[in-house]
Amino acid sequence: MGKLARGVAVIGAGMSKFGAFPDKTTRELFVEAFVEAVKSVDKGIETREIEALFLGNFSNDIFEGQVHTGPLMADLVGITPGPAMRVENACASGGAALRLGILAVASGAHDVVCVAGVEKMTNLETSRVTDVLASAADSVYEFSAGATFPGLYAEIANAHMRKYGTTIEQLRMVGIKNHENGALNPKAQFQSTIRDIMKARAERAKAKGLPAPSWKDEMDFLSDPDANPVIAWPLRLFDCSPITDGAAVVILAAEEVARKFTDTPIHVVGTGQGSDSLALHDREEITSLRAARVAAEKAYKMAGLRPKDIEIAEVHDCFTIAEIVATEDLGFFKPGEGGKAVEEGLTRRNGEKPINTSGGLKAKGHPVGATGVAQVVEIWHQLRGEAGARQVPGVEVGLTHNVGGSGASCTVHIFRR
Amino acid sequence: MEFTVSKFREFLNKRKIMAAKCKKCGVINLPPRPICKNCRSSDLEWIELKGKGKLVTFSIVHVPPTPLIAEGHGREKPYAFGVVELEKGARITARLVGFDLKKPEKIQIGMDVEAEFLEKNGKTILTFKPAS
Repeated sequence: MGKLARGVAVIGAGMSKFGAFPDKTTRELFVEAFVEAVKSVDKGIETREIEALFLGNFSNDIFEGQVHTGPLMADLVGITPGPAMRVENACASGGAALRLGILAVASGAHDVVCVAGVEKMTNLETSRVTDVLASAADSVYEFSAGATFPGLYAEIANAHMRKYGTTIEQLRMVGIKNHENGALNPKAQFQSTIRDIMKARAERAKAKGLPAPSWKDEMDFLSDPDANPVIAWPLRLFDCSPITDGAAVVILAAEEVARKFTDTPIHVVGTGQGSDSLALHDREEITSLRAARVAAEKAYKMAGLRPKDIEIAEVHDCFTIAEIVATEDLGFFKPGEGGKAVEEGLTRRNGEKPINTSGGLKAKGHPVGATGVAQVVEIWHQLRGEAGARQVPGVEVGLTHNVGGSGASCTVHIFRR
Repeated sequence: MEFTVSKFREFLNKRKIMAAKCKKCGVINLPPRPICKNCRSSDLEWIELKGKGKLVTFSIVHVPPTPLIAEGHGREKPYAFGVVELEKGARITARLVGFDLKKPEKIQIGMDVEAEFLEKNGKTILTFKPAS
């Protein structure tokens, strides 16, 4: 138990541009990511060599009124007549699809598979998106009591601040850092630092003949209730990931055949998944996600690695507090010390534990079902030394952490060059 | 199957907060569930909880979902919800009423709260207000 029956590697990875695209459906987003993933295979791959599709998708039923998206996408690129299915685990749909793809190859059932994630969210108004996201929480006992998704993470934030003294400034530093990283990612929804955003707002005000806002620094801007309104106290707009359209694709192969496709495969050395009660009131702890701790423990054990061995990680920062909790659950920092770690710069690109070099969900964007796969795309680029301006030099071991709902699902994967 | 969502709601309509207490391990399952969350026994019994508890955590929502927009909530009229612990380990999520939402610092984790039943569209809604 706890070992893969045979080795699995990532041989290709790609993603669509993330953002709001009124003229694109899930189909175009998926194909955009798929084409890039196929092109990224160093020695080339024919679509007919891909035997199956595992597609992470949260709620296309409501967003587009279209389900059965597995075969729909497989047909567009020629994976049919191989098996194709949608995997749903709320915001961890992509990570869950990834794990199933890995297990399918490890079992020997398939040699080469495609794992994808896609979500098209911007068709609906914000209030309806709020409804859809809240359906990943306990609809009987949480949604009916007025819980929204930001509201649930706000509950986690308030509890964390109370228990450990985590500060609102530390939360904001997560957003500032992730925007700095996103500014260097050409696929990110927000390719701008908080300073860029402040400058643009000041210029816009000037153009309209309005008095120019005079924010001292980023923290001053983020404290301004007009510039950064409350969404769910204590979380404000810049503590929340945006509503995003996007897709991501990775191609997995058995180690035995991986060298046929590339001389630089990225090896899957650990996979773990956990679950927990949907409702926060049913959990033993509110300041830590048990599903994440369990997933991490399994993945570390399989990989034979410890938290200190991880050189770079993409974690599920759907809200700024979620990144702080993630870095504690993954064992990078002790419980309650995640906020301090951000403040000390440890999680910046040049820090001892770079977190979310892609910009994270906060700046790169969070097309729910695509997120768990897009995290792997970033690790793929970083471990191959192809991450451009945001490259962390010489990294060989990376981790992805993808959370569903307010923590009822979590997958953790570890990769090695 | 006795410990259902609809039974819990029937009791609420009679202004009773009912939980499924495990006869084996004594854990109080709130909201009720058919199998004990602690020891997985299905030997349970209904018990009524007093409506007094402590606030475990909370949030004040300024961007509501559509049902609460229909009730008139929004940026100008936020609302609060949170987790309340009624007995050891017996927690539930509910709306919080009677707080000054312009002063979030007045809402303190750990403070005493008590149940307030509200009637809405023929249904009884469980909410909590600051303890008197």
